[in-house]
Amino acid sequence: MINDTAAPLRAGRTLRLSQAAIAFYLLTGTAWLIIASLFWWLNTAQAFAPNARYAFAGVPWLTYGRVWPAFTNTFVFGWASLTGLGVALYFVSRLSRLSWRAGVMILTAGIIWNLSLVLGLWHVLGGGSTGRELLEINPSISFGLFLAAVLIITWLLVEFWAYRNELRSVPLWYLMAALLCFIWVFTTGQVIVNSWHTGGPTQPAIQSWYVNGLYQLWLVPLALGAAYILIPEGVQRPVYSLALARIGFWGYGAIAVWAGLFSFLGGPFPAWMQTVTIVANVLLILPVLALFANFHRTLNGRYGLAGPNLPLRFAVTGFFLFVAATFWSAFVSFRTVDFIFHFTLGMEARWTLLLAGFVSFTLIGSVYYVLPRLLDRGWLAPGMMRLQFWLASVGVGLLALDQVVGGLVQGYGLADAKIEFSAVVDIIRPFLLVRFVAVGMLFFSYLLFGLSVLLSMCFRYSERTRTTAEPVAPVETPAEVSVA
Amino acid sequence: MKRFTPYLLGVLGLFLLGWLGMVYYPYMAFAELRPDRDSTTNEVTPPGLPGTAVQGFRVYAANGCVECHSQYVRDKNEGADIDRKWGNRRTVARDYMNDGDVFLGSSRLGPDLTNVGARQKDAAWYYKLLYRPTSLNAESGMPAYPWLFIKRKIAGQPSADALQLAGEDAPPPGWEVVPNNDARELVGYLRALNRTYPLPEAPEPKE
Amino acid sequence: MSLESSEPNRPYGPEPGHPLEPSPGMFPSEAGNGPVPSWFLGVFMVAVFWTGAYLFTYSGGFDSSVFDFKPKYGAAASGPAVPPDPKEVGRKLFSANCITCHQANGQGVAGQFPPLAGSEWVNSDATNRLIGIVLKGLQGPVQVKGQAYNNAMQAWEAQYTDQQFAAILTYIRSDWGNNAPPIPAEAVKQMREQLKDRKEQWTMAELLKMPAQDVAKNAAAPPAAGQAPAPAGNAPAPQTK
Ligand code: HEC
Repeated sequence: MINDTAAPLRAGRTLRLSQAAIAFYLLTGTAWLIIASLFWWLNTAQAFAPNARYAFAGVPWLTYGRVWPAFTNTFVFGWASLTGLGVALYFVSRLSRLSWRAGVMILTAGIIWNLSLVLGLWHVLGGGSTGRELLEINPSISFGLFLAAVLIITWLLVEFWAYRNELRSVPLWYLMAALLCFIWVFTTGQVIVNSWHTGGPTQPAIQSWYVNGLYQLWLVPLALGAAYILIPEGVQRPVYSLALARIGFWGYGAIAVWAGLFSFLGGPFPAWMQTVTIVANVLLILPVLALFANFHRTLNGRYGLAGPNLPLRFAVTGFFLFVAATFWSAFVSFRTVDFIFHFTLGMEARWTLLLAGFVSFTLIGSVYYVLPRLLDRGWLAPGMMRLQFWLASVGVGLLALDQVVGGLVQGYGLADAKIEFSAVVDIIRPFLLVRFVAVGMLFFSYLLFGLSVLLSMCFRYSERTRTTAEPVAPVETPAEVSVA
Repeated sequence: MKRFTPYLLGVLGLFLLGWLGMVYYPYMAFAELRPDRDSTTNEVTPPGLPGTAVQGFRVYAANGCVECHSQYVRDKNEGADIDRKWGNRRTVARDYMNDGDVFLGSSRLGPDLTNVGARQKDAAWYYKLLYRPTSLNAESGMPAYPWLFIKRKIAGQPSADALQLAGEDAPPPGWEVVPNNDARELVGYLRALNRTYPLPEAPEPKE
Repeated sequence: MSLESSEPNRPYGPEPGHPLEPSPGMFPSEAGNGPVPSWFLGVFMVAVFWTGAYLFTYSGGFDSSVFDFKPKYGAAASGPAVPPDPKEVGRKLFSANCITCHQANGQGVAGQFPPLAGSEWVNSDATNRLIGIVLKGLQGPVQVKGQAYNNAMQAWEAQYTDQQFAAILTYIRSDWGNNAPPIPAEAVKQMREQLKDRKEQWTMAELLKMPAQDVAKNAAAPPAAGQAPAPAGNAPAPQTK
C-alpha cells in the first residue's frame, strides 16, 4: 500500500498562512533550545570554576545567578512551551479536523511570544531579574507571553466548541487540558506572586506550586498528548485500552495539582502541605503505571520498530524517562530521603529526567514527525539524526546518574556537621565536571537537531528523504488488532 | 469520553480542587499570620527589617544569589542545618511574614544564609567576600561580584570604607576600591538576616 | 471512526493514502477496548490504603500552625499547654528590665548597683525583705557581701503581676551559683497586701528593722502548674482551674 511515487504537493494545494505560522513556532522553538542549552552549558562550567576567566567571571550579565534563570526561562518558555504550542496547534487541528484558519492570529501570537522572551532575556541578563523561579522576567514583559497564550488557546477553544464539541481521541484530551491548565497556572503565578507582589510565606508556597504546575500540568500533558500520537502511529496500531487511558488521564490530572511543594520540602510550611505533596508525588506512580501499561500493550512487543522510526524512537525513550522521573520523584519526596537529597545536585535529577528527558525527547520526536507533514519536507542525513539521538540519550543518562550519585555524596557530606562546608564543596567538584561534560553532550545533540531541521527546510519531501527518518511499520495481521 | 462539555467541567473541577487546596487555602491562612508578642517581655517577633535591608532584596534577586544559597533552616531530625550552626531552630511560616520577597532557594552550593547576619556582623568582611571571594578562601566556590564596587583614584583622604586588600587583589598604589550603592544595600540586607529570635511554634530543639 | 478522507482540498500535509498518513481504519489515537489489567486494581487498593494511613499519621491534623510532621499519639497532641518554667520566664523578664543595672552575670556595678550573685539579701530566708525591695524600691547606701553601694532602684510594684515577680525572684535565686528555694506568687501577694500603704522607697536601715520572716515557706501552696505566670506566647494564659 505504500505509494512509491507519492507526489507530495498536489496541484492547487498551497501553503496556508496557518501552516507557516505553526512552522514558525517549531523553528523558533528549536532555536531557543540551542540558546538555552548554551546558557546551561556555561552555567555548569561556572559552577565548576566560578572564578575562571573562561567561565566569564566578572562579567555582570553572564554571572552565575543570571545565566541560570536565562537558561531555565529560555528552556521552558522558549523551547518547551513554544514548540509544544506548535505541536499542539498542529495535532489539535488535525485530530479534530478543524479548518486551518486564523493564520494571522497564530502568527501574531507567536511573534509576541518570541519578542517578549527576547525582551525578558535581555532584562534578566541586564540585572532586572525578580529572583522568583520561572517568574524572573518582569511582569510587564511576561504579560506578552500571557497575551499570546490567551490568543491561541481562546481561539482553539472557540473553534473546538463551535465545530465539534466532542473529544474522540486520547491525545486531544491531553492537549486541550494542557492548554487550559497553562492559562490558569500562568495567571496564578503572574498575578498573585508578581503583580500583587504577595510577600511573606505565601510567595514561595504559590511560586513552587506554579513551577510544578508549569512542568506537570502544562509541559507533561503536552508531551503525553504527543506520545499518544507518535507511539500508536509509529506501530500502526490503535491505543490498546480506552479504560486505561481514562485512568491515566483523570488520575494524573487529579493528583498532579497537589504535588506543588516539591522544591520546598522540609521548608517553613505547615506539615500537612508537605505531607500532601509527598502523597501526591507517590500516587502519581498509579496513573503513570496505567499509561505505561497502555503504551506497552499498544506497542505489543514491537519495540524494535523504534530503531528505524525516529519519532517513535524518541517517544518511546522519552516515555521511559518519564517513568524513571516519576519513580525518582516519589522516592526522593519521602522525608527520610529528601533530607539527604534536598539542596543537593540530586534535586536536579528530577528536572533532568522530566524536562531534558521526557518533554524534550517527545518534542524532538514530534518535530521530526510534524515538519514533513506540515510543510512537505523531508529529512536528510539520517546518520546525523541518529547521532543526535545517541548524544541526547547518553547525555541525559550520564547527567541523571551524575546528579544522583553526586547528590548522594553532597547530601551525606552536608548531613554530617563534622565535615566543613568548604570540604563538601571540594568533594563535589568531580561531579560538577561530569555534569559539565554531560550538558556539553546535550548541547551538541541539540545543535545537530537544529542542523537537521535547517537541512530539512531545504529539501522537499520525497520517498528517499522520508524513509531515512520514518519508514512505515509493516501492518500486522488484522487478527491481532482489536479495534473497537 | 465523547462530549466536550463534561470533559471541560471535569478538568476545570479537578484543577479547581487542587488550586483551592494548594493556593487559595495557604494564601488565606498565611494572610492571617500576626507577629508574636511575648506576654512577659513584650518582645515582638519577628521584628521588621530595617529600610536598607529592604532595598537589598533587589540586588540579591538581580544577581541570583538564590541559585546557590538557601534561606531556611530545617527541623533537627530533617537535616544537619542546626548542627552546622546555621540556625538555633527550624524556620516557620511566620519567620517570613515581614519579607517583601522570600528567597528560600533550593540549592546549597553555598552555605545557608537564614542567619548569616548573626554569624557575621562586620560589613568589611562582606565587602571583601563579594569583591574577591578568593581572598578569603583560595578555592572558593562563590563567584566574584566586582561590578558592585568602584575602583577609583584616591582624591585627598582614602575613603573610610575602602576595602583592605592585599597581594594580587590590591588596587595599584594611589587607587582604592569602594563599595557602590548596590553593594551597601546588599550588605545591609545580609547583615539584617537574623532569625534567631524565639517563636512559640518552633521551639529550640533540646540536645 | 474512519478517517474522513472526503474533505475537499485538504490544505496541508500528505494526503490519506500517502505513506505518511495512517491508512483508513487505522487512525490509531482513538483507543480500543482493552481491559484494565487485574494487577492494576491490586496496586490501586494498596495505594488507597497507604494514602489514608500516611495522611492520617503525618499531617499534623491538617492544622496550618503545625510544622512538625512527627506523629503525636494520644493526649500529648491536644493536651493542655505545658506551663512555662518560671525560671525561664524570669530569665526573660530579667534580661528585659534588670540587666542594665545588675548585669547579665548578676555582678552589678561596683559602688552603685549591688550584685545579685551570691548576695545575702537575695539568698536569705528573709524573703519578706527581698520581696519588699522589688515591690517598693530601695535608695541610699546598702551593704552587700561586705561592699558598699549607693544609688537607687525604683519601685516595680506597678510593672508586674504577682506571678511575674515570683518568676523573676525565683530566677535570680537560682542563677549564677545562687541556690535558694523558689518564691511562690502567694508570697508576693501577701507582701503586697502587707505593704499596701507604704509609698516611699526603702532604706537599708528601715529594711533591717522589718522582722525577718520567710513568707515563701509560709505561703499556703507551693507554686503549682496552674499558677505559673502567663506562658510566653500569644495564646491566653491558662488560668487556675
Ligand atoms: C555559584 C554559587 C554561588 C553564588 C551564585 C553565590 N554564592 Fe555566596 N557562597 C558560595 C559558596 C560556595 C560559599 C562558601 C564560601 C566559599 O566557598 O568561599 C559562599 C559563601 C557566601 C557567604 C558567607 C556565608 C558564611 O556563612 O560564611 C555569603 C554571605 C554569601 N556567600 C553571599 C552571597 C551573595 C550575597 C550572593 C549574590 C550576590 C552570593 N553569595 C552568590 C556560592 C555562591
